[in-house]
Amino acid sequence: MKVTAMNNSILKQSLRERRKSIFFWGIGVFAYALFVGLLYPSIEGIEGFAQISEELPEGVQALLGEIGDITSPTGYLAAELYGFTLPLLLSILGIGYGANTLTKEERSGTVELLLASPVSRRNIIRQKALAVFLTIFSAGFAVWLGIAISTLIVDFDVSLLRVALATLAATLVAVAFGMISFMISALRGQKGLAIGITTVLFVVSYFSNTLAPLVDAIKPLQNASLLHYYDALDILTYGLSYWQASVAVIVGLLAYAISMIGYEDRDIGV
Amino acid sequence: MKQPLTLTNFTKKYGASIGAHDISLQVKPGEVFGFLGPNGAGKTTTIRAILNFIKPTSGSISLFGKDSVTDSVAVKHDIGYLAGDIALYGHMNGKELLEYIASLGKKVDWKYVDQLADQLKAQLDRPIKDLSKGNKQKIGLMQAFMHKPALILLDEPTSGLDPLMQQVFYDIVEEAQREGRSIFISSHNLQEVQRLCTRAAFIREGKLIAIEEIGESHRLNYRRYMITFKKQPNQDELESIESVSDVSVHKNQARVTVTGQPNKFLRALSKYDVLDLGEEEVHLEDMFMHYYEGDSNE
Repeated sequence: MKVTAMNNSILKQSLRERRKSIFFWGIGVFAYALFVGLLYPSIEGIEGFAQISEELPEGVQALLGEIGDITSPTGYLAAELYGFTLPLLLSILGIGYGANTLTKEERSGTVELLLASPVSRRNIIRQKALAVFLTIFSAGFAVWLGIAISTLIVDFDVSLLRVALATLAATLVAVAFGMISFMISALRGQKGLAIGITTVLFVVSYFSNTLAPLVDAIKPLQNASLLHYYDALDILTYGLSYWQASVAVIVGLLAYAISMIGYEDRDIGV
Repeated sequence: MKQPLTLTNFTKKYGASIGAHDISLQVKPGEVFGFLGPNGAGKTTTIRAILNFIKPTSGSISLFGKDSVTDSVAVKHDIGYLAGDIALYGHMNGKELLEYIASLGKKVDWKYVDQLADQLKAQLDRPIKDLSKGNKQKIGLMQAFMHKPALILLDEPTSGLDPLMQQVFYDIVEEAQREGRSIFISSHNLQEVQRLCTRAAFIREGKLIAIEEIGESHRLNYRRYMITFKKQPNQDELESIESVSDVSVHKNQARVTVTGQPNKFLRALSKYDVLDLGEEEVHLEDMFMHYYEGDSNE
């Protein structure tokens, strides 16, 4: 009896095809994280910085997010990297690759080679989604590595476990946005549409989260914002709660499930 | 043995437009079946539905007795496919591509792959992005045949191949047929279908017009000749030859269409002083016109 192959050839091929991009993204975010870590001693020594951040108007504080004492290692990391920059960078990577991995095969026509083989569409989705996850995850790991190495070079006293948890949380947020982008591309086969809608979602998510404390009308939206469940300072200070992590995981899994169902029923390559 | 391919009232609509309408046909075991029609007739739509890239709007398609949609994965072990405008992964070389496709679940006979590479003189060690269209087409053909599938679907298989390689392709098809495999060839090239196929379906504007036995079809035995005479011939005389039609004369050259056996045409021609006689490519649209004229005359 013939059996359907359940190997990971498509995953390997997808990662191999993207290896240069994965490498340069990794180098880029690693270098950025390393410099953030290495620059900490020069921030630490600035007197009155903590006072300035406390005296900022409420509106500006809301826009910047809760950053705490910027001269403390956790406050500094939250302000310079984890609060906004890291989820933004990883989400850009996730949204772009999530939109591209299926649609590139469709645009170029190589998807016909996959579909003409004894591979189920669900298997294609499984492997392509895993490629998106691993791509974002590898960039997240490079960030953690950059911080970890900086602590060996300069006096930067942070818990590498909590830095890892914050990196994981940012990665999960990016994976969730990446999977939403992936889902739209699986349902519609259009890269531009997937990037456009998911980018708007990210922007709305960011502003609804940051402006909610200032504008009552936005408050109901805040709970729907993925970024609302990502509090970098809190994670860097106290660790990651299951609740914080689970929202991004649930959104990511839901988008993955819808991708499976939608891709199964769609006419492809028309 | 179950029929390799059966289409039953297959229809595919895209909104208001129709890609294929109510097509029913059957490909028998060991048969080379032609699927002939002009560009945009619905050939590729039909092949894509057979492979479950797209779903039928109504009707059904069965492969070896299994449904093309619900049993799509299982049947693909026994199917080979070459797309009309084949897309391959440009960064791979031919060998890597064939290995990748094999890793997706097809059971490949690598000795046969070597034999195909020799026959086609395929370049398997160069990046595919650096290959000419013809050389890409060879790799496309190899991936369609390499697992010795029981049914091979070929969409415009010889586009880009030079005449020598076309002949090699014909040999490969004939060998596959001798081994009892079925081949479904979509083409707009009448000579190719005449050369290879035992039967052919004719499709136009998404509709199946007819299915003909190639060898027995008088109407399909249709050729265009260009004749160069020593002196200008009389057009009426040429038109009076049985089996000759569509005569046009310009100075000492004439173009004619010959339907059926060419004996009478050749005998009539022997009365003239002929300097040259050449066969011209038959355009499918001309053949269709001829086909319909034949219908209306009957």
